[in-house]
Amino acid sequence: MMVLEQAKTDKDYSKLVAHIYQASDFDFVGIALQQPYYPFLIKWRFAAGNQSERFRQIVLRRGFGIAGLVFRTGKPFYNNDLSEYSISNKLYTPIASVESLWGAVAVPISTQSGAVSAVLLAGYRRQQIVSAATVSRLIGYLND
Amino acid sequence: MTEAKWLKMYFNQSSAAIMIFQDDHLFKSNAAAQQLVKKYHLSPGYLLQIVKNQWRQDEAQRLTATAVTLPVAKGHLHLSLFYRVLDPDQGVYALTAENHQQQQHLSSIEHQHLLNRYINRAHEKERQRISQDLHDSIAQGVYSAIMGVRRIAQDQLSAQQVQTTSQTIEIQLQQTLAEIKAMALDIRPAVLDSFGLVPAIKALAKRLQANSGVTINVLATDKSDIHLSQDGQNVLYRVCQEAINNALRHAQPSEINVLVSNHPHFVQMQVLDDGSGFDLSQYGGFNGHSLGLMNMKERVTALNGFFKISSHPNEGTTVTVKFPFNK
Repeated sequence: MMVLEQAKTDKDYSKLVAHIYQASDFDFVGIALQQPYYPFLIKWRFAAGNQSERFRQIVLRRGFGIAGLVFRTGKPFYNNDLSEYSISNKLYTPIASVESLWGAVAVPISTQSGAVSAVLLAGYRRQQIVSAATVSRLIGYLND
Repeated sequence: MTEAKWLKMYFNQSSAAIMIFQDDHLFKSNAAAQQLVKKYHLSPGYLLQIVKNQWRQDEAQRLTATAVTLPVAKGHLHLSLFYRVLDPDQGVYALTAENHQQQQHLSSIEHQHLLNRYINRAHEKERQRISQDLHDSIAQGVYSAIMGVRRIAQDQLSAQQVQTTSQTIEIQLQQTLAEIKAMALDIRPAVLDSFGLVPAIKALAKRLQANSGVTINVLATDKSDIHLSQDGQNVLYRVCQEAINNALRHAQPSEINVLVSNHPHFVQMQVLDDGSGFDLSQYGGFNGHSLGLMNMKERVTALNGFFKISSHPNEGTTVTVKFPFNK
């Protein structure tokens, strides 16, 4: 299941997170973007429902954490009980720790050439199980 | 060998000093007892008197034990004495003395073994992590780049497609390069050798902040490291790394502060977090949590430094290290 949504402008992204946050029951919605210049850092740029501005300090690592895995694989990813993972674990997701998320789903946003340029992540602070169905729901919002 | 020989051997080689008396005269003693008597110029009769004095208070007992502290040439000797009646009709009894200093020495050896085991395990874990990082991050990045190059080699691509693909490959390689640099920094910061302790700690804090999202501030007086040996700087750096990682791993802090300050005769480093903290008395013994701390302490004290942890549940943790200046 690939999400071949075209890359949008900053304004679109900011509207998108606000829209999903309002239309859904997610406690947090965010978008991480890769900088278009060296060293191509991936950072959280847009967020809705955030409890602090600490998310801006995070630099995502490809292949690590939920969003990092989506950047690497280009495929959606979800996980529950995120507080279980400590910093040395591959599944440690810094955004989940900063935003106290219990479960989260993430889907890729790709450019026309197919490269992942951004990741959309949504999650719950309460113990609400996320699954493949939650992924489909998030993709639904993306294609609205 | 016969059973009697084995018993005799054990009697002679036992780490406890054993003396057997008959009618208040030393009848037989083992090697440890002879050594004890010789080393501290003790009289076996004197030891016997001490323990008999204790025993008389309760003559019905066939066994009595007492602990004594005897002044000897170099300080004090702490002994546990055990008096045991073997044959009351013939007046035969045994006196066993155990040297506490020896036991303390043994327990410190045991402590050292535990610490060694911990360090070996930590090294192994570190290697495992590096190997996994190489595989998951570096190898994966290079592999993606190879796939991209293969794609270009197929000649059905338009000029536009070739351009975007080569751009993608470049980004992938740049990211892999950045990962390699970050890993090299993790393993051994070159900054520490070329620019000193404070810039190295600042680079470490920046990186751990980026990886965790936890705010890590470094407040340092200029040139705080100027009088420290390379060993001292290395240890301060590693203690700082361990303390921050400990906090991130166990305490869920929202902020960590590292303070490095210069004093007339020493340099002080403090790592403070506002996380969950812990009850130090519960972590006083040996477990995974405290072995890391124990190892930090060992490294600091090996260089004549001062090391302290203060923590209370829900009040965060502070690690303090002081090093005297090298002349």
